[in-house]
This record gives sequence, structure tokens and C-alpha cells, in this order.
Amino acid sequence: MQMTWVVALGLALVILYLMPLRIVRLHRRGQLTPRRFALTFATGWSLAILVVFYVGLAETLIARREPLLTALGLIVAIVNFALGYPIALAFHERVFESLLKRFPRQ
Amino acid sequence: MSQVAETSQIPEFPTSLAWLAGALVAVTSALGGLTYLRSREADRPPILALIFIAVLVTVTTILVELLFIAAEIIMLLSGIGETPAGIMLGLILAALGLFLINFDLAFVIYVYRVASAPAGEEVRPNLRFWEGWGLSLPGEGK
Repeated sequence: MQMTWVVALGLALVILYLMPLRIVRLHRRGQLTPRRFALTFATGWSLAILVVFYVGLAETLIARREPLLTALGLIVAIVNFALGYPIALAFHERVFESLLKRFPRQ
Repeated sequence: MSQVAETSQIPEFPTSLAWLAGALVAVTSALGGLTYLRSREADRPPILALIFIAVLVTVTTILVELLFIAAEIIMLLSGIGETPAGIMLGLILAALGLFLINFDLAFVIYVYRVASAPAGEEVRPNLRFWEGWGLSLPGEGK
């Protein structure tokens, strides 16, 4: 396996691991609004996709030099952000609100 | 009942959400299977159908990832997430998120390969990220 994949997967793993930590930290500070939750999720998720695509595929993208393939990672990240934000908003309203109410803010 | 089990008892949990996720997975799988009903191996599935399935795959992976996030938040809020075992479980859930990203990107790359390959060339889905999901380097061939 190429080194770029090790770096890409490591970075994406850290991003995915830190996402819930940030959400919980915002909740404990009393700063977690539905929009901030959705923004944190959609940004983290899209960023992880961007990292896996562009860092992992770096060698292939440089060698093939295809504009559509190069833009594909950005397109996938934008689609994931555009779909992830409203889904996360609905998820917060239907699941997280009742979950977070059980834990007092510190 | 343990603290984690107690925390995960969410009152008024919308069971319709779980049904929706299940239905999405079933529809995506069925549509994905239908695209392989071809007369010859070299026949291509319709590109618009593949794009539609790619969007369904994306929505499904986002829903499943949100369930992983919920699990991690439950662990963190109940104090388990800050113990060594909890950190390990959190990393395992993050790795499962990576699997979802791999699946989503593999399907998108498959759609790209179907759209860009020369006529008559057989294109198969490839889930192996270390092979660039089937993307070959120039001069490497298939």
C-alpha cells in the first residue's frame, strides 16, 4: 500500500474521531445549536472525503491529468455537504435533542 | 443497567428513522443489483441510473454515519468515551466511518469509469482503495 494511503486514512480517521468530540465540547459549553451541529457534521464528513480522495489518489491524479477526475473529489464533497447538512439538521431535531436533554451542560 | 445502556435509551426515538435507513439500504441494493442485469459483460448500465444510485448510496452512508456519531456521543456523555477502552471503541467507530467513505467513493469512481471507458471495455466495481478503486495509471493497463 502506498504511503499516500496511510497518510490519507490516518488524517481521515483523526477527523472522524474528533467530530463527536467537538460536538460534545460545544454541548458542554452550551453552544451547540442545531445549525452548528449540522455544520460540524457536514464539514467534518466532507473534509474526510476530500482528504481520502485527494491525498490517497494523489499519484493517480497527477499521472492521469484528467480535469473531470480531478474535480470529482470536490463534486463528491460538495454533494455530501449539501445532503449531509439537512439530514444532520433533521437528525438533531428527531434524535439528538432528546438525547442531549438528559445531560446537563457543564 | 449499565450507564451506557441507560444513556442509549432515548425516549421518543423515531423508529421511522430506522425504517427509513433500512428501506434506503434495501432500495439501493435492489437498484444496484438491477443494473447488472445485462445481456453481455461489456454492456454498460445506464449512467443516469448509476448516478441516481450513487446519490442513494451517499444518503444511506450519511444516515449510518450519523448513527455512529450518536453512538460516540453516548459514550462520551456517559464518561466511557474518555477511558482507554472508550477511546479504542471511538477509533473503531471512526474506522467504520472510513469504510463508509471507501464504499461511497468506490461507487462514484465506478460511475466515472463506466462513463469514461472506451466502448466494449468491461468495467467492474472495485472496492480496493489501495488500487485507486480500479483507476489505472497511464501505461499500466487494466
